[in-house]
This record gives sequence, C-alpha cells and structure tokens, in this order.
Amino acid sequence: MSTVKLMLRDDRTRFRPGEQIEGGVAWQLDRRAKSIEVRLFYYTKGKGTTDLVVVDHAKFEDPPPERAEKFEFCLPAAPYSFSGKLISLVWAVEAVVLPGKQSARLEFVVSPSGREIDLDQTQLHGDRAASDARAG
Amino acid sequence: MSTWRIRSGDPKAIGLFGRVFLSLFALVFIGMGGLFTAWLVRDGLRDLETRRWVKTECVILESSVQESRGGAGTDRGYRFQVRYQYTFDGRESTGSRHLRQNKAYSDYSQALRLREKYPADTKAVCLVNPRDPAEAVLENGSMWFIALALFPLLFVAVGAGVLWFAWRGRGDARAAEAKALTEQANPAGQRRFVGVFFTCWLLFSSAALFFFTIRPLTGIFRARAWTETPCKIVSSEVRTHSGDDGSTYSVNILYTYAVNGKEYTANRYHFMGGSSSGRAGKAAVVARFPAGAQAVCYVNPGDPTDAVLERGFTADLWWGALPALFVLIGVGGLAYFFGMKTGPAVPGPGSGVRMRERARGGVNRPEPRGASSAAQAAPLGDAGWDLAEARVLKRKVSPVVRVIGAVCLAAFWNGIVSVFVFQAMQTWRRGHPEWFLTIFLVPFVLVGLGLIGAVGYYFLALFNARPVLRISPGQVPLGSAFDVRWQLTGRYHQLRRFEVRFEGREEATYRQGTSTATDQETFARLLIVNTTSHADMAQGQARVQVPADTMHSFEAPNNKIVWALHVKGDIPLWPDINEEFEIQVLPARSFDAGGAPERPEAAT
Repeated sequence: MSTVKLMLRDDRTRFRPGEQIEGGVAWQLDRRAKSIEVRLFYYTKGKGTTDLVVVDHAKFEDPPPERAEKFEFCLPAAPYSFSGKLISLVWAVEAVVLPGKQSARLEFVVSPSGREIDLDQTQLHGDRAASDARAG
Repeated sequence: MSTWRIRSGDPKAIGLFGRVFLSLFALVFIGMGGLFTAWLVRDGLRDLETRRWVKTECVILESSVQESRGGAGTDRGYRFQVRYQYTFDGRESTGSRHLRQNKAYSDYSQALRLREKYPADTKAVCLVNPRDPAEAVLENGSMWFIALALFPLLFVAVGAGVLWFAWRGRGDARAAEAKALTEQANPAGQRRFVGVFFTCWLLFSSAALFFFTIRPLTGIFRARAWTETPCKIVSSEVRTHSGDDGSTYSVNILYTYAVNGKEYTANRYHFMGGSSSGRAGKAAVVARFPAGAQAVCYVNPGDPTDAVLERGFTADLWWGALPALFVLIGVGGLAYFFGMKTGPAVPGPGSGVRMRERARGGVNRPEPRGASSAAQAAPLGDAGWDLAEARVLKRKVSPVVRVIGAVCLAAFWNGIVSVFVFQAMQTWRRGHPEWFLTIFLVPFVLVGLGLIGAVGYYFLALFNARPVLRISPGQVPLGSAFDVRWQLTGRYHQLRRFEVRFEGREEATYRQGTSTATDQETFARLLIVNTTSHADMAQGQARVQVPADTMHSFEAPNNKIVWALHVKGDIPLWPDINEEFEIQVLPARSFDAGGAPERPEAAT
C-alpha cells in the first residue's frame, strides 16, 4: 500500500503571518503516480458550509517509487487562525498523490501571537468625546 | 488561488426523512419521465418503419376535411379523410391512412392543405407494407419524436439528479475520510453542472421563444402584405381544453372565403395559437363574429389556404415577453458559466498571495501575485496602509433601495396571488364557491398584505433623520484606534432615543435541506453612545480601540467576520432608524507595534 508523510521543520505548529513555512514530504508508492502535490491552504469549519482556499502549492512530477523532498511556502498576511461560536478558520498543508486518494495533512496556527484567536475573548474599549453621553 | 465550497462531507447532510422524501419525489419524476419517453419512442419507431415500405402508385378515391368531435365544445380538431386504391403484388387494396397514425389538427388549413395536395380522382404515390400489403400510408411520419423525447428525458435527468443528491452523502462521507480535503472540492464538476443546466434552459426557452414570440410576430409582419378578402362566418365558439391545472380556452371561428372563384375554409383567428385561461376575453371575440355574419379576412396570395381574421397585434402577444425573459436568464447563466474558473484547482507553483486591501478597502481575500513577492506577503508595516484620510461610511442598504425592493417583492407576490384570488372570486360570483381554494389562499393573501404594509413602513422611513458617520483614519488595522463622528440631518427632533454601537460578528451560511440559512453571532460589542439629548444626537464623536488579539474582517462565500457600526433611533409611532455601516478591520500593521506577540514557540 502506498504511503505519504508530511512534516514541518522543527515540528512547528505555530506561525506568524508572512513567515516562511518549511517542511518535507516523503512517499513510498506501490503504483506509478503522475505527480505529488503539497498544497498550502486554509479552510473554515463550523456551522457554515466549508470554504476552502488553496494559497500555494509545490508539485513533484513523475515521482519515483520512494523519495523525500523539501518544500517551502511564504505565508500570506491574512487570514488569521481563529475560533468562534459559529466558525473556525484552520491553516494546513496537505500532500496528495495524483491520481489517487493517498494524502497526508498537517494543521497549524497562523496569527501574530502564534495562538489561535479566540473571538469570545475580544474586549472593545472606547471613549466618548461628547459632554454627557456614556461610553460602553 | 482558488476558492470553492466543499460539497461532500457537509455536516449539514440531509436526514433520513429528507432522503426518503427526496427519493420518492425523484422516483415520481423518473417514472413519469421514463413512461412518456418510452411512449414517444415506441410511437416514433413505429412511424419509422414506413420508411422501409415500398413506394407504389395509387389513385385517390376520396379526399375531404372532417371535424373530429370530442365532447360538447371540448378538444375537437380537423382530420384529413382520404381513401385511395393501389395494386401490390397483383392484389388490389384500399387504404385510408395518411400517416401511420392519423391525427386531428387544431388549424383547419393544415388539414385543408393535405386535401389540396391529394385531391380526389388524381394519382399519387403511397407506401405499402411488403409484409402486409393491406397496410399502406401516403406519407412517412415526422422525425420530431426524437426532439420531443428529450423533454420527458429532462424529467428523468432531474429525478436522477435529485436521487444522487439525496444519497451521495453516505458514500461520500466514507470516501471523504480517505480523500484529501483539497480534493473534495470539485470546481470542474460544479462548472459542468452549471453548463449543462443553462444549456438545457437556453434550448427550452429558445424553443418557447420561437413558438410564442417569433412565430406569431413573423406571421403579423407577413400578413401586412396579404390580400383583404370578404369572408362568411360558418361557426363561432369558445373551445374548452381540459387539463390537470384546470381548463383553458381558445377561439374557434370557422369561415369561408373565395380566391379566384374557388372556395376555401379556415379557422385561424390570429397568429398567437394555443389556448389560455380566461374565458371572458375569448367569448367577447366570438361575439364579434357570430355565425352567418360577413367579415373581412386576410389571405396569403402565395397560398390561398393560409388566412387570418385578425392580422394585427393582440394583447395576448405580451405572453411572448415571458420566454424572452427566460432566454435572457439562460444567456446570463451561460455567460456566468464561461466566466467560471476553468483552470486547475490550485495555482501555479510559487504563486503565493498578496493582500487586496489597498485596492478595495478589504482584507479578506488573498489573490494571486507574481512569483517573487515574498516581501509583499509579509505583514505590512506602516507604509502598507493609508491611514491619513478620514472616510464617510456607506450604509449597508440605502432607504430608497429598501422601498424599491419592498415594492418589487410586494408586486411580484401579490401579482401571482391575485390570479388565484381572481379565480376564487369567480367561483363565488357564479354561486359555486370553491371553499378549499379560498381557505388555501388565506395565508398567501395575508403575506401579500404584510408585504404591502412593509412598502408603507419603508416609505415612511424615507422621511427619517439621516445618520452620517465618518471615521478617522479611514482604515482600521487591528491594534489601532479610530475616531468616529456622527451627524444627524433632517428631523432628528422626533427621536426619543439614539444609539450607536460598534460590533463584531460571525456570519455562517449553510444549507438546510433545500434552503439556505445564515446564522449570526456577535462576539464583540461596544456601546458608543446611548442618549436622549437632541444636542448629542445632532452630532458627536468618540474614540474606539480595536484590540490586536482579535480577528480582522474576513469574507468567504459562506463564512464571514463582519465589523460594523450600528445606528438605532427610536421614534414614537413611526418607523425607527436602524442602519448598519460596515467597517473593514484590517490585519495588524506590525506585530511589534501592535503590542502583541512574542515569537511563536516551536511545537514539541
């Protein structure tokens, strides 16, 4: 049976927007494949129908039966990984053997703090400049 | 960069009850469509057999047009009656069939043309079945059955599609576990579906456009050159055609006229054929042409069997606008199809992303960039944003648009409902009220009245005081503060209370069975002003701090993070002010300047 494995450099799972993401993909194929693609993408989870955006990909054409390759992507400035009551946004890289169904996926967090943004923790502050009205 | 919706493995999959219901619905479609297709194909193939029959000379013995009678005034037509004699293999036989299956024509002239083509006491060529020489026809059947069979096949396709939609979830859920997430989306499949759907739509609407619009209009323009001829009304009646959705009516006026001393008969009143609801209009036409009366008809000089009583435009030609509208929808759909992405599901290697915010004031959608733009993809420094300018915010929906929308919706809804209300009222007038129809219509009428009420509500709201909101700076990155200034113009003295809130919310759109729903959840709220003082309502300002550790505005087809200022004004005995002004909250300008993050830790 064919296998495909993904790993990120230093096993990192937290990144800042705009950072370089580096990793490797290793495969063992029992059938000839046309290509192996590593895709950088984000998708939404939760109550809404899933939206998925493939941001970048690296393609290895005519892969030999067994090999390991490096890949690197530059993360965009947005969107951040977040989680709320209805929606979560998850970043991931996925390796797919084409054609076929073999794949591997690694999920990670992208945000300025390196932590997934928790919408419920949002605190807003304001000041009313007018004379006697109240600010929240 | 490709954005698409994952269709399989949807958590909102249809339940068992829904699947069974959809399956029954689909099976009815498949069964009925299949039955009609089989029926059409069987008859068509039978007609095709005559193409192998042997051409044989025959003599027409009798040729006439007869009216085939249904019930009193219902579904009658005109048949071409013929009798001919031929000799095959030395055996003399007599035939009486024009086609394998003789048919009745609603247009007299179609039967008349056959009589003119095969007059009595003339020779013709008939087709004789070599296996049974007693069987013969004058002409081969039409190949149109192939095109006709496509119509019920469409129902079979719809049924099969519904069945697949109802049950695909099960299989796909298992397959989805093994399948890559990025492979589950199938933009090519979606595109194919859109293409096939709108191609079929365009074909059928074009056919309807031809029969209900182009053909009658062509007839009207051709008839302008036809010869004005005196004619005599032989009979005049309103014909009733029974159908599953009730009866429809048509005008049938039979008249005779003479061309070059020869008498002809026709029954075409105008160029818009067929039948429709509304008996009174047809009865009025019939009353204008009573049997025995003299009238004027218009005859085609090139074909004296071709005549018409009314050669101008008639009110029912407006129905022709409907297929024209459907054709436009089909063209629009195909334009959308050709505009859909055809390329691979993923962008070219190294395509990366850049942000769009400066171009469109939004943050949410990264888009493809050139190959070497790693620097662009990095978090933007101060130079990345234009923070100097103040900006007047646009309201989400303009009050005028609300009124127009409400008027259109009320007109559309009440226009359709009024047709059925009229039918119900007719039954009451005739003294035989249809109770079921009347009771069934009550909720629809109530909704219609509600919509008329909404038109009045939004119209009155047009005269409300108008809030104008201005923010400075014009763009709001996470971790920054902005000033908001409000100003009320118009009749703000009517207001009892005035409130401005700043809110962040999630919006998730999902499918529930066959309908689409959107849920909203507010995760952050700041009350900026809540006042009863008219001086404070007239104008004011406040400063709002957006934290660095929250989410920027985000927009995908089904999921959104929306930041907005809400303005609410409470007016006694009058529609309130309720407006939303969206603000694009951008990602942080600079992480360090935003005061947030330490270097992300490496995972263990």
